[in-house]
Amino acid sequence: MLPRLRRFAYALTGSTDLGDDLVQAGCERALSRLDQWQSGTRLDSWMFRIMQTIWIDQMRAKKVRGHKIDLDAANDVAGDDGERAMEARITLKRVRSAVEELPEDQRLVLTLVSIDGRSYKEAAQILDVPVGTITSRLARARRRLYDVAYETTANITPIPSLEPNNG
Amino acid sequence: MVDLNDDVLIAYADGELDEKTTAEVEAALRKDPVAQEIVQKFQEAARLAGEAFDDPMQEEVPERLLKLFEEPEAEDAPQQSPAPAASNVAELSQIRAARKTKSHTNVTADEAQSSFRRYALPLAASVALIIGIGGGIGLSNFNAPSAPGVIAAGTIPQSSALHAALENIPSLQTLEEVSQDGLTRNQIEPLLSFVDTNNRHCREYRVIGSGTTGTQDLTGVACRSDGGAWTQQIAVVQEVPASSVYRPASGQANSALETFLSENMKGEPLDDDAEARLLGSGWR
Repeated sequence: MLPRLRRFAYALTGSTDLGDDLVQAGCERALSRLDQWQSGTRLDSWMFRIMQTIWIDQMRAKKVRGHKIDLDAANDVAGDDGERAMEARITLKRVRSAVEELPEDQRLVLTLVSIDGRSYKEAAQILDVPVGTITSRLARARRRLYDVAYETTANITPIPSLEPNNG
Repeated sequence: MVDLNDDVLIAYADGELDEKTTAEVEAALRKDPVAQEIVQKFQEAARLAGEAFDDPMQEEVPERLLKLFEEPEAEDAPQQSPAPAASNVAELSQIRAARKTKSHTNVTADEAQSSFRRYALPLAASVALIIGIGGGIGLSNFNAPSAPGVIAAGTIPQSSALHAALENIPSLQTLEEVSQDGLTRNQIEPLLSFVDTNNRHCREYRVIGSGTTGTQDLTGVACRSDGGAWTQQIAVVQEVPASSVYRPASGQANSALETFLSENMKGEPLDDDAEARLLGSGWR
């Protein structure tokens, strides 16, 4: 479970170090409140919920919002293992920036469903929102993520839109 | 006919629609290349998101996080590091020696069985550590392969196969439990029996649960109350997704378990005769 908690926290915080701080805070809080965990429910879902709460509190405390997306990501990517591998790494770096820029409600849903592999129903339970909310947040997040990831890649166009006045 | 929109398409892309709606969407998609492109790009976005944050799944869990779980709720000194290494090492080598002896003397533990033991098994790419003090694992939950990392609270249910194995099966013999649909199986193997510092009878055991999505490998310790209930004291879980590749052992998770054993075991593990007597007498 710890690797999954770390991945979740990495996606939320945008860095493995901050992510591990969050995992640590989450685990400490969970261990101190083991008595509040309802037996028969999933321990991992409870842990995710604790970490999510801590993270949202931190976000609100710091008001860390609206960084610029790092469009110079390419410059930070070292090594020269072929153009394609390089491109893939740049793309993933852009994905991380894009995820970091998402509104926190979208980021949570994306992290639970598309990164941790939860079902919509499980995500809805963890976040305590209707499944319909999960679906629409997820669609917005994935559109944004795709478009940012491939913004500068030739031959790849953004996700098209079915609604004529929404593209 | 279903209306194609982002909500429907993403749910379709994620396999979240029921059978009937899925069929309707597929029919509508055949006539709508733009919608097809959206579905494909929604899936690609999910793949990207998964890959972008995958590093923690490939790395070892940092020591500082593992440390959080090493101490079984020590009331006196929560921050203190485990007991001096020397005493641990001495006791652990005894435990290993005892196990070795047992695996040689146990007639039913054949070669294939012993190569399945945890010391021979490379640790999974994802080593997970879950410790529920006073909690327990319910095999009914453990059964769900789609939900790795599940630990149910409370005492091990008396109706479960794990309870039956702890109660009746000699160490290093395996009890196999197969789910009704045949897709999931649990192999339960008590590893050793001992008396803990509270004079309870305890057993270390291993449960390998395999299903369609992967394997979950749990090693835990449970202790028996006078009333006959087994309560899990500690469990180390390794999740091995079906798609993942085994990586070299880290040993970190095992060391937490062994620290626990060395701190809670009174004397040495019970020998085969002592264990057989307890099994025969209902742990009296």
